[in-house]
Amino acid sequence: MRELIEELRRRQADSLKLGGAGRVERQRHQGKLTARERVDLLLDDGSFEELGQLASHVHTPVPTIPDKTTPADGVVTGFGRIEGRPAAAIAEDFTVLGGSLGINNFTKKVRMMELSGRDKVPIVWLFDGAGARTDEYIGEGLAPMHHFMDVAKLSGVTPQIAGVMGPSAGDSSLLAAMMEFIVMVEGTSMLAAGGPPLVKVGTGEEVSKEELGGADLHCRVSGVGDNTAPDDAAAIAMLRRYLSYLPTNAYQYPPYREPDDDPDRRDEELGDILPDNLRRPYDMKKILERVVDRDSFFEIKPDFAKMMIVGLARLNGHAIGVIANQPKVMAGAITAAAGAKHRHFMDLCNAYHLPILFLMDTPGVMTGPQSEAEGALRAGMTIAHSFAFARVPLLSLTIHKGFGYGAAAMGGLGAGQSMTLAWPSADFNAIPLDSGIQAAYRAVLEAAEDRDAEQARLEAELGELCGAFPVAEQMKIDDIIEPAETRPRLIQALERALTHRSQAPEPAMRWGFLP
Amino acid sequence: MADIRVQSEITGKVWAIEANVGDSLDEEDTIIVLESMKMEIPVVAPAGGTLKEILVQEGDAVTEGQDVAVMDG
Repeated sequence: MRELIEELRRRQADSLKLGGAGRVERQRHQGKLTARERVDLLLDDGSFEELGQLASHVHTPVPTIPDKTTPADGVVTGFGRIEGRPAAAIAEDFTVLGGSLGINNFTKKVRMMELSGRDKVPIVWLFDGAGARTDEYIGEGLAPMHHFMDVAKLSGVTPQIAGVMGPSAGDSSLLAAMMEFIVMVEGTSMLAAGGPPLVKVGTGEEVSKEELGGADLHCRVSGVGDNTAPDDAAAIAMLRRYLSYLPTNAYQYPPYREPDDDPDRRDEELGDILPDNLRRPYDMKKILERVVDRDSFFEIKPDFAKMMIVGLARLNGHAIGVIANQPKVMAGAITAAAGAKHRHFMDLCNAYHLPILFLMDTPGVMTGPQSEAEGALRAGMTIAHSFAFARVPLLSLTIHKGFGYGAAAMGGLGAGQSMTLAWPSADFNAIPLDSGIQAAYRAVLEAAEDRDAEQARLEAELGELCGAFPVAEQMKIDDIIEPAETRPRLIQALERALTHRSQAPEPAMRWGFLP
Repeated sequence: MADIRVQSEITGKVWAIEANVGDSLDEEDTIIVLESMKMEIPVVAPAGGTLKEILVQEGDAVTEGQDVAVMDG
């Protein structure tokens, strides 16, 4: 027995050496942490329970790599705790054959997904792997779909998130693209269906990793990634922060955190943020950050479709989602990308029982041939599905413009809100006033001596009907509030709406939610 | 000094030109104001520098991504 225990210890120690001192040095030289250092940073101190530490590669009929050794078969897997709550970690080890997907490496990942699914434990993937290990996969036949289906089935049941911390291609990039929150490290990360060599063979194009699928491309242009981080440690801090707002699984409510902000805090300066000329933009984030608990706003996708702001926050200690128009960018118009960003975030909030605060200032869905070509109509209308099946408290506050379907998409009439509020500056129109008058009053305008003067007179007269007060008179919103009292009023409404949490939570999504 | 091409982020009409060629601008200073989606949307200097050229006139239609001014970075 003693000899066997010695053998066990020797094998464990070998596994901790990763791909060897030289490769570990190269990893550090690139500014990257090792897989084990990343797992240590991710999980609470001393909480790591490793599985599959002794895994190694399968033996291929024709050995192609001399002295092939693959500690943990190139992926560090196990469970631990994040801020005291359970979480799974799957960290690819680039120092072992480029973090490539060996057959046993794959089995380890699938086992982790199976256990996380069974125990309803969030999974944090730390990607740094180059795709299939070709010597093992040649002759393996039909590519597997089942692990992607496992991700889909877990979606909306327990959080699945990822840090991309190196070049990630093939299977790793496909898995990464399915995650609900993806942080990419600037300069080192890449997500691509095929890496630069494969692109060269396929299409003849020569591209760098950064151009092909770097953090900037995916977090600003494609929207596949969510947030960028300057280094591994910052990315891991972001992953931990994201989870701090979410329940461990959909059978629980989000964790409450004792606030260090006053729920009754009035803020007289809120009324000064809007410009005197209401046709000019302002920064919605200035309003949002002053209303939620101090320093609690965690923006998601800050660089993509910036006319739509989404993020997690706390209101008197309760975790919430925030969806807000950004009038500073494209006047807050809802483009196809903005619609897709809204829909996905709203589904995520609904999946994890996060109440949603909408801050509205939108002129509507973006018009014009380019917007139609992008499919803004369909992307905008998917939001109606999210509202139809939402079971979380919804609070809407109209700051200024609430026009057309754009207003509906931000929590319009009859969207099931627990509270609809507006500032006195709110302006509502089912259709734009100027073109509406041109259509409805055509005969009047044509008969007028001075057509422009008549148009202006009609706009002024009918515009009176479109402000906050007429809408409140018709009881189409619940109340008009002073900007200064926004925070206390939202907290009152939220805490009243949370009364329904006396019921046990369960998963809200019928088919998970789409990436 | 490389030229900085200042682009419109949205399709619309030039509502007003607020800066003059030769002006020394800070980042975020307004160069042109567009009218689009019922709003006045400033096109701002992406970085500090001197305004070298304005490529549009009041009333012109501009498209998303179109160069509207050039600055010396």
